[in-house]
Amino acid sequence: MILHMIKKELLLYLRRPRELVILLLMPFVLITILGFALESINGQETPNLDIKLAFIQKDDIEAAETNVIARIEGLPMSEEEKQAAIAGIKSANPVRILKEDVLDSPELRKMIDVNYVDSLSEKEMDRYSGIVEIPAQFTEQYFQHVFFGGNEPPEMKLKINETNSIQGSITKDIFTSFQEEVTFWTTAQSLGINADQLRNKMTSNIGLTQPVSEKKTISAVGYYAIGMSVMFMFFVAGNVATLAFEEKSNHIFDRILLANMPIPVFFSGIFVSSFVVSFCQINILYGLSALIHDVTWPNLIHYLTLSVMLSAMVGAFAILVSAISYRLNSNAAVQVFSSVVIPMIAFIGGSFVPVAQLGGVFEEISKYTPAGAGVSAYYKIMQGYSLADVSTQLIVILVITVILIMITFVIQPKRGENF
Amino acid sequence: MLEVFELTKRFKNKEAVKGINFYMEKGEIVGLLGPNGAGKSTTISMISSLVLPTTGDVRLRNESVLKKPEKIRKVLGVVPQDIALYMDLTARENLEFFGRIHKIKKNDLKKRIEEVLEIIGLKDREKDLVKTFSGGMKRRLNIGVALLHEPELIIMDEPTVGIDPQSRNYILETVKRLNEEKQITVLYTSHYMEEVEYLCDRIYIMDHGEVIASGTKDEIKSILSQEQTLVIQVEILKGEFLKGLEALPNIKNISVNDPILKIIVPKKVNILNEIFVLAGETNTNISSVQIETPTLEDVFLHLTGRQLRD
Ligand SMILES: Nc1ncnc2c1ncn2[C@@H]1O[C@H](COP(=O)(O)OP(=O)(O)O)[C@@H](O)[C@H]1O
Ligand SMILES: [Mg+2]
Repeated sequence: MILHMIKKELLLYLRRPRELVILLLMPFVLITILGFALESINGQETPNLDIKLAFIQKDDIEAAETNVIARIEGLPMSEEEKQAAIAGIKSANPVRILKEDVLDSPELRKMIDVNYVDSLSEKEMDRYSGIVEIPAQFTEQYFQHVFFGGNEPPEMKLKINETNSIQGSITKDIFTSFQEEVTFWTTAQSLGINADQLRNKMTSNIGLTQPVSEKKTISAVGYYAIGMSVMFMFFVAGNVATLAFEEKSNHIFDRILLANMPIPVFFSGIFVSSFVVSFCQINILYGLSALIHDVTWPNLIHYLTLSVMLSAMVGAFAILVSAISYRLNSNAAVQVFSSVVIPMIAFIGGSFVPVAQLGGVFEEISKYTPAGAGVSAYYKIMQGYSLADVSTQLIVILVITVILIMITFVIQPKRGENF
Repeated sequence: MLEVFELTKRFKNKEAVKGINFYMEKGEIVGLLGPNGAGKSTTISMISSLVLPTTGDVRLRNESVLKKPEKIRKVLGVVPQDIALYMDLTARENLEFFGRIHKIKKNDLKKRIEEVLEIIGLKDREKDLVKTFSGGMKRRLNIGVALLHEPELIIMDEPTVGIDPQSRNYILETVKRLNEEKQITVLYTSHYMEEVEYLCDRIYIMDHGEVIASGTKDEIKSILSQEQTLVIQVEILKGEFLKGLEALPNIKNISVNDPILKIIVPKKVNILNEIFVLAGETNTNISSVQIETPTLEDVFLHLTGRQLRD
């Protein structure tokens, strides 16, 4: 029976262009408009971090390593100490660490495009966000300092082109902390520089780069794809409830009762069809966003899990609003829901303004609202977080769904009261 | 087959049905006649288990169905007063949907839909959206949906409201045919007395929530056997003339539909003379006078002092 209710509901949607416009066309147009408008206004704040780095290496690190090993061989140390020092040479070479463990790490590789060049003309320099220069004899001097003391440690040169840009400041941060770390480890006179430890320390020091470097940045279009899709999912509940109330007011509901369909089954039908409609809707919206705006999801399973849960919540809203309108015998409940409640929860949920930017209490509260939980969970999943990272939001969605279903069950119309 | 005992329905501020009794035998067409607001639809909703009566009982084959609505729902086909159809579905899709929720098996339903389309004469429009249908076609499909599960008893609530005479005749013929060929019992509700007069074996007349007359057509009309109806048309209706008429002895009832007056008087009394004298005194020109045999309309007028249709 429920199957036929769903089939009927979908047919009605296909026959009602107005509904399709509201559920699919409008949100998509809004995603496009809002996304592009915001992209061009504060492109700097939601950057597609595309750092171009020139790497000029005037130092011959292999030669320096060979030299230093030869010098260690000649030192008056026990054979074991010599071996340990030699083994530490390669892993303690700052240039190697910078090239292989830092710049070529998966986190930074996405963000920084490194070009290894021999030299640059003035003109070519302008094409880069930053230029790193490893001066000749850098490694040599470095090891000299570490193993034999004396001279000052050598320095890498960093030139930032766009000092004020976010790319510039991120590049600077990376190198400043790299230098600090190298200095720390060298002054600690420890030969066993641990590359992992170094990198971890570094990334946690660079407060700004850490989140963007570990997780994908989301474009404005991506943000509004989430915000608008979540908001318009709720309109499915409104539309389904409108249809349900039409069924009551033109006495189709009576006919359905006369066919001996239990009232809870009827409401289950409303629930499932809202679920199906909003699940289709969200996939179409994100599908279009992926095709046209290149808004993609790193993990489809996470995305689908969240979408299923949100669609179920939409179903719960649909039956609650329907049940209220049945009890009041008036369409007012549906109208209030669509014109007051949805915009409100969408606003609090951050469909229009990224709540994360407002920050503070608002951001905290938002996470516990129906739309806010959806928006922030989609956002994090789009960034590449796992379901465990959005467990708070998932629990919020689940709890809301269960509560709404329970309320509906209590207030659903009883036999003989439906007039 | 079906009996109703002292059925009452009280809404918040209104008693819509005030303790009515009636019965239906298998194979009968019973008419429920009454003006708008008489309580017909409320009565039907109570019989069909959609509304719980305030007091009273509904019995199907001597068994109360108030607590077991499933029983009566199975044998009952209800044609609601409103067109309870999905306007954005085709005729066939509507029939399929309602058939399936009646749990009719897919193959049986296919056959049944063909039969029903045949009965209601919509075979050639089955693939069209209901919203493109004329009023009469919608009414026919509204009936068709109620026939899907082959009910023994059909309750029709004003199934001909607002349609053209041709569709109306088609529906009346269909009802008659269903009754004659399939022995389907019919409760036919209407405020058109000529429909009820044409179709029904027995009639209940309702007004203000009460049954004010019941019986076969002849029994009901015999209420008026002692009376006749005069239809008088005047050129200009004057207040003095009307007052004079009301003052005349023997006149039971006057209804005015300017410039036509309907007067119910005892059969034996010749009142025409007095009327013409009164006309002369008040300078009223009478253009025509007719003496009518009573109709159900007249019965209603007689019983309530009002006309069935305003
Ligand atoms: N749900 C309701 N609440 C209050 N009054 C009602 C309700 N349904 C019907 N009524 C009133 O009961 C009376 C009988 O209505 P109804 O049964 O529809 O009459 P009919 O079908 O004969 O036209 C009317 O006065 C109507 O206004
Ligand atoms: Mg009615």
